[in-house]
Amino acid sequence: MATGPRKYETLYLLRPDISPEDVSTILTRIEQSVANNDGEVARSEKWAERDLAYPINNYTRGLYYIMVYSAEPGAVTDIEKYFTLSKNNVLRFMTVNCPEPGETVSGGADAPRPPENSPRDDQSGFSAPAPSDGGAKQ
Amino acid sequence: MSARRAGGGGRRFYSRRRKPRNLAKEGKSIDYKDTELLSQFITERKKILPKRSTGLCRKEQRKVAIAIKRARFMALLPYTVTHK
Repeated sequence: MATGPRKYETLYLLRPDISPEDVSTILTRIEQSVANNDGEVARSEKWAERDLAYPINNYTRGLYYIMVYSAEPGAVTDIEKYFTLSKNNVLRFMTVNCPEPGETVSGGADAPRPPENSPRDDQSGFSAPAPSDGGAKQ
Repeated sequence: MSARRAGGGGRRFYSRRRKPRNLAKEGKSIDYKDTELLSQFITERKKILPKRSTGLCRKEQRKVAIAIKRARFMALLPYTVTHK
């Protein structure tokens, strides 16, 4: 499909006893997928380490990593396929359309929430919304 | 308005109606990662509160509900108090 790059946010949960090498393998791998799909990584980092609300594969704690990027939709498919194949390390993952171009992470374990003034906060917001597109998904 | 209705069957009604609330006016954005905010909209048993109790408009209520469900999937919020 001839859509332009879209802005996504992927949050993924790694098992707590993962080796640092495996983490960097995952990071390079998914950043590579973004680059392969005409994309650009806005940020890719650890978001939090916290206790899980319920055990997943007998883990009660986990490492949350976040990546905010803009890319062709193919990147999401590619990344999610990779996550599915590395089930050992990746307990959960989720990609959403990035809510706001400027906004990055709010809330979190310790980060204070940035002030947010826009009265309308549609999830479809990409930096330059095309009027014809009307926030239609994919 | 009274929370009690005619008929008096076994069904109980919430008397927890809240004043209207608008998150956008409070300068808060609804994000599934913001568990502190979202936990204001769930019950003790971790169920999503109805609109009549949260006081949110339907648009924000829907966004909150979606955000809670996303947070649940990512194990940021529990589905229930009795997980396994």
